Amino acid sequence: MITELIALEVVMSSYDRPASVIISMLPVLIFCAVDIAHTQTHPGLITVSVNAESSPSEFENMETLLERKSTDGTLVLRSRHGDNQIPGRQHQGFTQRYNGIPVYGAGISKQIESGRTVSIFGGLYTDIAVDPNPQLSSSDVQTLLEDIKEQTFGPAQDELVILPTLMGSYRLSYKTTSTDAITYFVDANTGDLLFELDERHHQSAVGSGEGAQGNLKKLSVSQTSDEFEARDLLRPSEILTLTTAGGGSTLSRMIYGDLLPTDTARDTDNVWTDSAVVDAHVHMGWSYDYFSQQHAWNGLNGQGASLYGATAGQNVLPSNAFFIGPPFGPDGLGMVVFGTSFAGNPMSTLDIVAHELMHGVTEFGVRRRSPYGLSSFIELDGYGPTGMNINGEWTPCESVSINFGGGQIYPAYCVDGKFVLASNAGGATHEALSDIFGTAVEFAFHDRGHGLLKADYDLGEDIPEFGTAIQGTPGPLRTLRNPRDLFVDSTRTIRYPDHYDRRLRFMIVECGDGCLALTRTAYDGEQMVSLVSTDSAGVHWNASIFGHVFYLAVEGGTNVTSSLTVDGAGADKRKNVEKVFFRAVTEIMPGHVSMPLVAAVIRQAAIDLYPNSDTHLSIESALQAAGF
Amino acid sequence: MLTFMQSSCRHLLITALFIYPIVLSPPHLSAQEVASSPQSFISINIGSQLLANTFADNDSFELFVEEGRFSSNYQGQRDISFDVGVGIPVWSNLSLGSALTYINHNSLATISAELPHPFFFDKYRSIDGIAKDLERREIAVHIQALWTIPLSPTISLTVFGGPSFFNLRQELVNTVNFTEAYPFDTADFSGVSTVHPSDSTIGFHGGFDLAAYFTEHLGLGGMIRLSKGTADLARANESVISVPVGGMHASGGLRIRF
Repeated sequence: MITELIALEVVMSSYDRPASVIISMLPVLIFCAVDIAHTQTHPGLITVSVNAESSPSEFENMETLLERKSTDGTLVLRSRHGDNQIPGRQHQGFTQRYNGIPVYGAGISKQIESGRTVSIFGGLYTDIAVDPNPQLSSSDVQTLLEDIKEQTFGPAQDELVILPTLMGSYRLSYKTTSTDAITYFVDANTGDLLFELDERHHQSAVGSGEGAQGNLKKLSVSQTSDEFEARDLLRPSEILTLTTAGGGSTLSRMIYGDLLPTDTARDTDNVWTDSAVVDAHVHMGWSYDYFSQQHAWNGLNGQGASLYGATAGQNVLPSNAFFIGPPFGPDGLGMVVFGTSFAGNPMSTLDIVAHELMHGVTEFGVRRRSPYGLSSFIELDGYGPTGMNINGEWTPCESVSINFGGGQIYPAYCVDGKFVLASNAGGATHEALSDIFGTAVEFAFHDRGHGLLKADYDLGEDIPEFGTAIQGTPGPLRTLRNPRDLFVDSTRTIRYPDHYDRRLRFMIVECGDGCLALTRTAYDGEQMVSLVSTDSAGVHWNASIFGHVFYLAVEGGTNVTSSLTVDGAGADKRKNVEKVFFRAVTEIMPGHVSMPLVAAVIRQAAIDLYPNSDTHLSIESALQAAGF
Repeated sequence: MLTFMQSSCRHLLITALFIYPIVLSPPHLSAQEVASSPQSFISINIGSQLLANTFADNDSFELFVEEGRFSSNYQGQRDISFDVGVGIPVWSNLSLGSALTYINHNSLATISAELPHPFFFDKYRSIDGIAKDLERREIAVHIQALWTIPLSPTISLTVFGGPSFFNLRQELVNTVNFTEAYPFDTADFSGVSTVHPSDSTIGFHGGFDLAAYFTEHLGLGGMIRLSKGTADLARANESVISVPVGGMHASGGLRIRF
């Protein structure tokens, strides 16, 4: 039966980090047929998680494997750095290579102390059999991309990689990032566009309502001969706030590092009247202070690089804010951009600013061990039910199809009668960390409470029109306190997950000739429902799982799904819990993750810093309550 | 220390020392009359201020678009004072005279300040410190009526009083210097900058002097003078602080009568 469902949403959605969609309107993709009937993830993926809870034999086996792979050139030591929190501990980052070509997203993060291995995390791909010699040149690929996208790109930055695909195979690909800030993976032999990755980390929201700030803040600025500019020279890292002055081309130029003196926000008498600039500049400074003083992390890269932020009006960036990482930004070290809500409120509240900056910290933190940072990957993630309700009628998987418009109707991908599902653990982890530290920064500078300019566990609550748009009443975008209180979108059918078993996974369709595509139909463990968007396979929605873990670890409470109760470490130990999560991402986390792996990394970080303490036990209890 | 005296004061002293006796010197008296009637005299004293002048100053300033505050508590030090006086009898036991007192010493001020934070409103950094060696120079000319009470042929008690003309030059703390570094949650006192305003004012004085003469003309004496006045000193920002002058001085020295 062919069923009219919501058309596929292709990439570039606002507030997304879509590591998303397989494009179908392309030259025919030729995939090898791969039997993945009993595979929940890529069949060649080995997830590595050897930590404080592993046995000596597990350590020995993994060390032997790593040594063999280092000897045969499969694993290459890429980075080495000391531990910011534990003296004497070293961290090593390994990338996986195949005939000298990096395997995208694969790698190992290893922690060593006094010659003894403390923990190892990461992912390795096996059984790779790919001709390492490309038939196309990088210029061929750029021409192809320009034809496909029907636009001209500027100078591209590309490299050859081995790309693991959703189908369970491997493709020799060019990874190229072009002037639209999208990374494309193009088959190096056939020219097929395999994968797109939006390099901008977004915060998405649509809503209506009223919002107001109006509190007087101090700005650290610098004085020129006749005016003042939003350039903070008091902090060890220079913080510069730019304004696009309503120009989309201006923003693009800034992203590509081409700054003009007029881009810097200015004022003639040092009494600033642009509330968007005031909030952005001040909140970047406060966020910097938090990372610097709480975690000894100086700037986004931890080493004092300048911070660049830009404000943009509704016509440039409506209801959106994002971080874009290297090689973009004025110094090639990334930048954040804050748009304006549909109600005219600047998207530069403290939790949003800190959320976006944390994307930068995550990016640089993981890049210490993995060249691609924390990879946002849509991957196979198990099976769903055998059918779903469509217009009140039970429909088996094999009879479900998705109508993408234009005559494109594709059947659901089923194995053994079950829906094959996908999710994006890397992207969700990215968003979860940003939610957690957006909250942490809010607690560092606002008094605890509810309402405007108060510290709480809600995200975006100071712009309540977003809540109105989704929930029907003014309120936050998300909450760490009890995610189940909120719906993920305006369909109001699925609630934010608070447990691993309730994570949102998305139906996949077979789009012909070996192509797989993501749909907006999500499964939350109980029902399959069509949503407004894919959210890049639920990166913002599944973020609430680890966000809730953080909340339970600090405040305690009962997880609604598991009914398990957690004794929180207490508000006086919130900073300890923050240190654990910060350590997890900046010192240990590998580039390729699954949610259970992230939980293991957090556990290791807790053991590293606070073994057998209230903090450690609360975190462990919170993880278990959330299904880890 | 006398070298610090201004030329005008020197002139005044010369006048007091020499003009009054020359112009107003009474006729020579017999020994019996010396014991019962006052004579012209010159007194030269060295003494000390019994109670040091203390005063406090509170001022505000703008820093990081916010008002900061500092307070300075000045503590005078009991230092040496120099006093020269002359007098001539005018009627019975009544004399008229003048005296000049000179005090120049260093004082110190304890400073406390509330410094605005560069990043936050209503988040002050407290600093404390001491400013030492703050110069204070006080010159007073006392115009006095004196009443001498002979206690014996050689010992006399004189009570006196009248207006006083004060000139005060006081070094005041103008700004508080400090050092600070990111994250700027604390600051350290590093010193002060000062100004040297001066003011002249009129007050009053009173006291008594006990003199004992060993010869017809020479003797020694001791004096307690209480003087009081208020000088208004202008700070660099043109605001004014009222500073007490005078005080209780005790001194002793040479008495010359003729």
